[in-house]
This record gives sequence, C-alpha cells and structure tokens, in this order.
Amino acid sequence: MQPTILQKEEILLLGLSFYGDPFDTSNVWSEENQIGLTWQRLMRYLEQHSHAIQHRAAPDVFYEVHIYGDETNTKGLFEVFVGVPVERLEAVPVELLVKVLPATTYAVFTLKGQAILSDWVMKIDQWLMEAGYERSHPYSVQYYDPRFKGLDQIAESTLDLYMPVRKAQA
Amino acid sequence: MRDLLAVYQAIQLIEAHLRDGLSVSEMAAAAGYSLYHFIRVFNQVVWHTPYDYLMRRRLRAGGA
Repeated sequence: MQPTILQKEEILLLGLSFYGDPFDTSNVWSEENQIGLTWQRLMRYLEQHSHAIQHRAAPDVFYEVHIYGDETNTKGLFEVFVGVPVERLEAVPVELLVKVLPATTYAVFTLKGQAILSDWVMKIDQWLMEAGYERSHPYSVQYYDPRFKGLDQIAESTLDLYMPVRKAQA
Repeated sequence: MRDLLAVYQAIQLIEAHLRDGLSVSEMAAAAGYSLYHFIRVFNQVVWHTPYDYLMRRRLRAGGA
C-alpha cells in the first residue's frame, strides 16, 4: 500500500452520525450494520429532501468519517459520520449535522476490490510507522465517488482512504 | 480460521484480566488486528461486542 501525500483545504460536510460499536447489531460487511443503517438514513433524507442541502460541492461524492474519542481504545466505541461535501455552510437543515475537517496533510491510500474489506487500518498504521509518519488528528476518512459500485459489487469497486498525518515526532 | 484464532487469543486475554484493567484496543493488539477490524470479527464470532463480552464475563466471575 503506497499512499499519495497531499495537502487538503478545510472540508465542510453535512450528514448524519452514529456513535457506538457499529457492529453491535450486525457483524458482517453489509448494509445492516450501524454504518449501513446510517447510510440508509442519509440516503433516505437526501431522496426526500432533494433541495434541502444548498451549495453541495459535488453531487456524486460522499464521505464516511470515523472519529475516535476517549472510549475508542477502552470500549471500542467511536463516531461514524456519513455525509456530503458543501462549499459553504448556509441554511443548514436542522436534521443534519455539520463536520468541519481541518486543513491538513493526508496520506491517501487507494483500495480496490477485496482489499476494501481487509484490515486496511492495520496496514495503514504499519505504513505510517515505517515511513516516519503518525496520525495527526483523531479521525480517518473514506471517500466514496462513482468508482465505488457497492458492497455487492466489491470486486469492481475502488475506495480512497484519507488518513490525516504529520511527520513523526522524534 | 485466522479470525477464530484471533478471537480465541482475545478471549484468553479477557480471562486472564477479569479483575484488572483491559481495553478493547489491547484485545485487538492480542488478536493482531486493528481495533476497527477486530470489533467486527469479534462480533461475528461471539455475537457480542468485545466490551459487552468483557463486562458480562466480569459480572459472572464476580458473582461466582
């Protein structure tokens, strides 16, 4: 896994969240675990409120952000946010949440096919350590665009993973 | 098979630490997985979240 290192400006997202262990109801890679259910809630909202989000930055791009906190290491609990990018925050619907990803450096890993279902977090952390980087913020980003065809077409799918990084402190 | 062995190693760690501190990330490390991958595999095999399983085992051990 060889990433591209790039600098990104601040990213504004509107979407929905789940907090907990996302596999507490369904443990398989399916649309029935808590992540899949959160995606379903978002897609249903977007279908039913097609004009609610103003200034959407890209109509066919979606983000899944995993946000780690005090209970992540101890209890395996974290936030999963799914959303869409917007150019600016204006008339934000009350049903949606806002996430502002800071301007920062990312290591971007591109996964194809079955690798999407693998333990890529472990591989990323191994690469970071060997390359002299470390995580710079307590989140990671999955970037979905038309190259991702769905879990039922995983062999034909591509997914970009954005890990915020900095050079490891000596 | 790899997943079963990983969960078995995690459960062994749980049994050895029923009366002292043990985090889910330490269980994942014992299993050789990232935390994210571990909690999915653990749920798949055990049908409980790792933390829920740990709490259940501690309660049962404490009442024994």
